[in-house]
Amino acid sequence: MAQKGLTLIALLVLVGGCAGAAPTPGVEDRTTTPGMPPTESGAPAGGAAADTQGPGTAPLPRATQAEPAVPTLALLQQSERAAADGNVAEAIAYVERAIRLNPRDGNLWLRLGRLHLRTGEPLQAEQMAQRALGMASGQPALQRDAWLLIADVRDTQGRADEAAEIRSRWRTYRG
Amino acid sequence: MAEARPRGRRRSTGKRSTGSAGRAARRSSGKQQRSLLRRLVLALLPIVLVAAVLATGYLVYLDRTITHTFEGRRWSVPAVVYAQPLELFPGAAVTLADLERELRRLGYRVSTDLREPGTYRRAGMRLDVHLRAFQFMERQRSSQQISIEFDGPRISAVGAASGRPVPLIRLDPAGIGSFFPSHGEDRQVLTPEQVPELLREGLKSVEDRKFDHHMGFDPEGILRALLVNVRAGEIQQGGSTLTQQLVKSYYLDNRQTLTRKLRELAMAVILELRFEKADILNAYINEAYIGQDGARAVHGFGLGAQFYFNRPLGELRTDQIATLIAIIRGPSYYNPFRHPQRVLARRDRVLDRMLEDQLIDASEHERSRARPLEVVRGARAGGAYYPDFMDLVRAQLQSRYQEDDLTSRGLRVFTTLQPRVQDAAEQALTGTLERLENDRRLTEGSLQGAIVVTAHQTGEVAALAGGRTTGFDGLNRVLNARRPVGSLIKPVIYLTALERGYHMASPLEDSPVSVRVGEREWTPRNFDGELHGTVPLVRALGDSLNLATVHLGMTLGVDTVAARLSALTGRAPDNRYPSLLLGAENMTPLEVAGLYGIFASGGFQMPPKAVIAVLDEQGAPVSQHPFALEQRIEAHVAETLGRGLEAVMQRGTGRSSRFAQAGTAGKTGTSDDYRDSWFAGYDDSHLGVVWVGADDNSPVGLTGATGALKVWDELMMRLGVQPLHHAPADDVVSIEYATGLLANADCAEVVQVPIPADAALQSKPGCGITLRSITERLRAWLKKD
Repeated sequence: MAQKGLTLIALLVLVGGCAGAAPTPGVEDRTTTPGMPPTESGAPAGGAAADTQGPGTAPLPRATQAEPAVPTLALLQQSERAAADGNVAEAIAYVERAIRLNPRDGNLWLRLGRLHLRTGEPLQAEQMAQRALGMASGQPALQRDAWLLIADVRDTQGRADEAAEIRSRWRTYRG
Repeated sequence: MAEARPRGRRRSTGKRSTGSAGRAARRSSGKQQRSLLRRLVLALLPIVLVAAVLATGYLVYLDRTITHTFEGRRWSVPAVVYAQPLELFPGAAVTLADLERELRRLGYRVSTDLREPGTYRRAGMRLDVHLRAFQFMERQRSSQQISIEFDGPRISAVGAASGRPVPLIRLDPAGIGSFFPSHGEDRQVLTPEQVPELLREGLKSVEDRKFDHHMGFDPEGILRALLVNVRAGEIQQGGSTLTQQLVKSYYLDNRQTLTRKLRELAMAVILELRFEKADILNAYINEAYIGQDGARAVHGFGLGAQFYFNRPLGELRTDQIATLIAIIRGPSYYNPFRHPQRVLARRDRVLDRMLEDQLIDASEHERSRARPLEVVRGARAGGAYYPDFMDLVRAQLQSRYQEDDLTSRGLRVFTTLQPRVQDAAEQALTGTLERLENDRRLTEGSLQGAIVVTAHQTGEVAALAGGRTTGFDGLNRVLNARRPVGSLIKPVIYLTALERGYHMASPLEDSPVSVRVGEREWTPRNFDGELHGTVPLVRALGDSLNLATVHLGMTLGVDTVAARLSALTGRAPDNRYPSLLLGAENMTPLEVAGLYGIFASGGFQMPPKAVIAVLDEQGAPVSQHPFALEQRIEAHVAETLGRGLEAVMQRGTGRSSRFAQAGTAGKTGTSDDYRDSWFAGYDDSHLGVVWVGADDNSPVGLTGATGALKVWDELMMRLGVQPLHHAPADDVVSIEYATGLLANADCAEVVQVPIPADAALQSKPGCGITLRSITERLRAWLKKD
């Protein structure tokens, strides 16, 4: 888990860096209430001036090519936050929203599976891991993580031997 | 009971005294008179007492009834149902026109200053929008300004008012209906804070000037009304107070009898005694009948604002508030859609009254009078009311909720409906059926149809239309019309074969077949009446060859196929005979969507789902409806079958589709005598299942390809095709469709299908496989070991 968290943070930093703005802003639910300034440090160019005159004349920052992933990352970030607050149902809702936008991203199904394992639904978790596996062609890291989730599922089912076997086979898998 | 005994005693006393009075009559007339009076009083007393007791009892009953109704209905709100909101993010396939249409559907209006929520403005290729606040599933979103820039068919940037980029933001979801009770009454309940002051004051001013002081009725008003009515010889004025009107609307009884009037009056007085004026006025605002939308009675100003102006009450202008006050006097007489002039005249009188009573100033009065009526049939114009889809929502909620929960708890139901897809589906169905009737000189209206569209990777139902005119004839064919599926069933047989070692090039015999079923001989024929000899499996599926399919099915075993079908649909087929192999089995379009959803999603069953979440009035989740999936077909087999369904489009019975070569997959189906025309097909994101036929089951002369497929084509035209996505695979080869020989596209009609590396395939002479494909197969073969 810790390692995955780090990967995500690394990804977020990477994308944030690309977009030229400090942390990826949240989806709409986390944006500020009217009359409250945004809380981010380092507001992008034109921020303060545009604030008072509304979305006026200044052109908006252009989207870059890599951007389709940004909404997904923003949702995953929200999901992480909700999960950290112990609100797994909300975390699931965010990941499902990401899947609606990008249903063929096996990483999202994997994450959904992990959350379902947390809510005590190992069978769903395994199905979602299988779904991720079906989308993992050419993605060794995703294959490995999906199998490791299945190993976790086996643990909850009291099948520790199988879990250990899966882990020994996949833990160090690099493709 | 305590009262009954003394009354009984008195009555017996009375009887005795009646006897003694009779004896006294013979003595003197004066005494007689006195005793007569006494007799009368004694005789009447019990009656008066009984009447008093009864009246008291009746009042107690009225009090109970009206108080209970008032309290019960005060916050009794039908569940409100929402569609999926449009997600806005850089890269989203949303055009400026799409977004503007969506904003108008939601009742956003153009404004240059964007001061109010619910407004937008266009600036070149950019839309600035002041979003309304909305309580989403996850959390509350406050109202805020955003800007969306477009670059051709996509959104290029989304930014907040500060200029800060926004990665993702949703529009408010469209309300698509509510679960009003069975007597057809729909409403929104507003708190006093949500009601504009002008509406409250305007209502009092126009409908009940003494509201703040009277006791529920207004004798002067009643007299005045009586006078007017007597003079006119008919009832022109009600003379009812708002309180009386409120009582009247609770019991929906328009008979103007005296007893009913008295009862109403008594209840009004009771309400006034029991409740605050402000609460009564607010109840009236929530309760009053304000319009009719087909079978749906529109109650209250909240829903009225939506119904007539497609806008929340709080966003209405002065003239619009005046219009609603004008309508409330008699929603059918003052129906703005039918009698706009009449309503306009009355609205102006309402505005005049508002000026007189200083509710508005002269300039506001002038401005408002200058405005046209501007009623929009919001609920219709945007097609924002989807009864057919609501049937599915109701069906899926019924297992978890009582009817009462849905009609009175104010639940908020978030659904999977995508209005854009729904509109496309409805237009595709109605438009194509009209065209088919025209082209084929069929009687107008003789064809019926049904269409359901899902996002097949999640199983969520994006659109559903149970007939040409949705919701009006009551029959929802997507859910309830169970019809023979014909060849739609064949993929199940080919799937069963693939799971038992067959592959896409396996040779099948398309030769005469005769099966003994009981006493009778069943001798199916091919659609074209021809025999095709030895054909590869992919062609038998693609051309939907009946004889090859029956041979294969009989080899596998009807029971095996039936078992496979029930595992996929969750329902054992009714038909256990060989004719099952050719689709003599009835299914609903929704069931077909469930089955083909498994094929489209790579083998995962996700039953068609309509509900995402249910929240209570405070926004807390009431029940969870997360994605639920179950793998039913092994991934590799599902991929192979999917390629077979692509071959149907490229080379087989689906090749007449406009999108046959565009990366789509599907299957046609036709039942005996052309009674049912089916098509189930998908691209990378949507699965559409279409049925076309006649309600009386008469032949319509359409095959799957000439009927239902046309509807599907229209659907995909409107949605835009996303070509099917394939993960890179080592085992996919080109084979000639007709023969199954390895071939390349330059000199043969080929299809790309996965073939096991160890399968022995021959090459088409002179059109053999390229060196590249040989090395690829070799590599795959080596890898396999």
